Amino acid sequence: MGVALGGLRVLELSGLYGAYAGKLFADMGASVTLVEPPAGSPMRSKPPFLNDTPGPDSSLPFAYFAANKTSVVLDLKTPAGRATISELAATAQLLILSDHPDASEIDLEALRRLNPALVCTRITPYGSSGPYAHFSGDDLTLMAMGGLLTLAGFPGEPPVVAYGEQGLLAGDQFAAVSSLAAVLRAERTGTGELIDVSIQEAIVMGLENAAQTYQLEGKVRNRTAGARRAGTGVFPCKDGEIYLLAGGIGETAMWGNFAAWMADEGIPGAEIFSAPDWDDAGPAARTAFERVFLPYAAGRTKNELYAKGKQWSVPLAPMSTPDDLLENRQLVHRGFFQPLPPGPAEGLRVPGAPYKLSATPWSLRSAAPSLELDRTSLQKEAIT
Amino acid sequence: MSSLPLAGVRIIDFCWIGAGSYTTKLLADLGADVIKVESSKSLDSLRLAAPYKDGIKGVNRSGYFADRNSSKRSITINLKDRRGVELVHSLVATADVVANNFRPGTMEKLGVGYETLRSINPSVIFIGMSMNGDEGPDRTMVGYGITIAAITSFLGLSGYPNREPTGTGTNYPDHIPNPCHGAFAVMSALRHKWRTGEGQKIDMAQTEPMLALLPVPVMDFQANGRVARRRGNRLDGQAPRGVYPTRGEDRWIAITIASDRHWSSLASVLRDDRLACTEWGSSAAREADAETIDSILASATAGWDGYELMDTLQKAGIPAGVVQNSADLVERDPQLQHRGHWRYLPHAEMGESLYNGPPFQFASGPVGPRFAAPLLGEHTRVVLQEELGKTDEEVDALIEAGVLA
Repeated sequence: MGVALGGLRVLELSGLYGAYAGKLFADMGASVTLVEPPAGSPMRSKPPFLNDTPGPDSSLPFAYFAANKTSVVLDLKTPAGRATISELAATAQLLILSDHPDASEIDLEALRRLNPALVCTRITPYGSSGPYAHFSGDDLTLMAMGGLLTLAGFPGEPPVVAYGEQGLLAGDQFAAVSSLAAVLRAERTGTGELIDVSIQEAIVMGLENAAQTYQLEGKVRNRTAGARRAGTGVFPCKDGEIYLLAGGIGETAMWGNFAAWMADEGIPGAEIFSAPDWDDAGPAARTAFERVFLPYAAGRTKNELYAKGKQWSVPLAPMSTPDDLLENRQLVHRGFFQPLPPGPAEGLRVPGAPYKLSATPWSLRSAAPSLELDRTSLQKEAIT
Repeated sequence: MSSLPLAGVRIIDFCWIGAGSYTTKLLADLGADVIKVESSKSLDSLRLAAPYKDGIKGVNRSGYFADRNSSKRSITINLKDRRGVELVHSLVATADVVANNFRPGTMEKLGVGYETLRSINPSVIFIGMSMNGDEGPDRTMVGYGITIAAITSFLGLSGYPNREPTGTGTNYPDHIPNPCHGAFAVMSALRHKWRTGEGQKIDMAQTEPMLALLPVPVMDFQANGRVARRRGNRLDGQAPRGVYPTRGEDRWIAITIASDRHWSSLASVLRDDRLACTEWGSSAAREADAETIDSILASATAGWDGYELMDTLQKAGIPAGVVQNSADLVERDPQLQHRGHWRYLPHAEMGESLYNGPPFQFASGPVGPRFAAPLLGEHTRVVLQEELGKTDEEVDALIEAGVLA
């Protein structure tokens, strides 16, 4: 088997974000070195921890985001630390700089002069120049400023942010895409790049049609939770909840599939769904729908309803809980969750390949680096 | 200025609707020649998705479609006709990448499955992006961004506790996770192809990038037996962290207090005695009293103008951000203006219309949408002539025979 990003050397100077960009490279075979301050990467302090016990090597987010990477501890506040970065950057293809605690000590232009083929990617909350360049930002405030927050929640109530700091991860993902594009060009031409990623702007990429709806139709999209068409939304069933999108989206006529399914089950009252005057957006439609569907769903499990959705081509999915995911038969079949290699969290199953490449597969090769081992190697280096 | 990173790469694009078209758009904006294979008999349903130019529906008028298809060329080909399939095979012979987001088996039915295309072009990179991937018991399930959000637990984890989950209010996986992962996978395969000459098949289940971005719930469940639940705007170690009203109708500000220093600055900026409570000096104490603190904050922010409060808090070093809507972003945000985020590109039917520029800037020169989304079949003739060497008469004959519908 080949290794897609084999031979690439990546330096990652990250903090609480930036790590997923490095991970995408590492998992496809690049050699990624996390540069940590003497106190360790800030991600090492991020909860939750293994056995709920904080420690430099027990953060679960760190165990995931730093797997497949090696690390080196450098004090960038000292000339020696900065000299080491220059040496490392001279033979690297990519340097990712985000909220490393000593980010201000790094002079990307100088590193690029030393190595013109180097791609340097800087990730900041709002971009590295402009009126908000000096603003601080975290996931919640960036989701607000990026326009995704206003779409999430109930009308008239405070908006509510998506789970899992997805805004910060959006910045990482676009950083990885632009960095790889620039690295591919640098390998062909010998000329690197300086890339300036704004997390706010990465979030703006996820607004669906909201910006165009404003420009073309003058309408401002807002929160809509709770107000919905019949047959669309979260519904209770025997062992939890499902999400149903009976009508599909746009012009695709999925409602007929749902009506055929209900008719086939012989459910009393289901004939209304096939009636020519049925309007799933009509005023009484939601109550009528629930009167028929809820008693049916109450007798069936999430997985039984999901199987029916598959059979009848109705968009429907279980509202999975985290423990459901580990047992999801499709994910089990695909071997999606993978055990962490030897280390403090050995054997803990984590999300695996987000894509399967037949000739150059994704791989999980090593656990996140231990801070103690890094310090030891630094001391050895200092002695020699 | 150097050339665009993917200049010279050709992609034959069968993607439609959301995530797939966004993936190939990212690659097209980076310089790839993306030829979108369409048919007037079976439209990309995003062509008929709002909003429309002047609110008037039409296959060349959707702003949603336009933003997902910048920098691409469009050809219409009837794949029900054997001659149409042969034309596509000839195009694939010139291509580096073939992309689709159909359910597994559909490309084979159309006569353009991986094995067939590989026999025509052994070094082709073939990416399929169905909901559940190419293999496994649920591979044929039909999926949308919102059902993918549900099955991955993302929807159920997003929202207020004890209320129905709210998610992002969008089909989130379609817009960032899947396009970015798809583009990263294709570029990884391109590097391998350039180094070895070998093509390959990429099987990307659209559930899996979303799950890769949600590692903590499954890990915390295994390590600590904890089942993650909705927590609104709260996050461990940061308190308060929330969204509070400001002056005006439906205006809000997000504030995150990530340190004790932030907290004392906040109390002095808002000049509210109730926040000076000495017991709230530590994050743990503030987490314990989060509801009380949130309600005090909400009354303290309500009289402020949101932008003024944001500036004041930012000057004090506190992460704060106005909850901006699309009008704020498109018309007023000075940072997006500084970065030239919004691009207005000329389009034959839509006039100057709005596109997102990329969230990354290259020091070497501009990058982003190169030209507006194509009209349906706009490039059929030019592609057949320039890429496949057809004459005007041959193209006319194919049109006459209904092969290019």
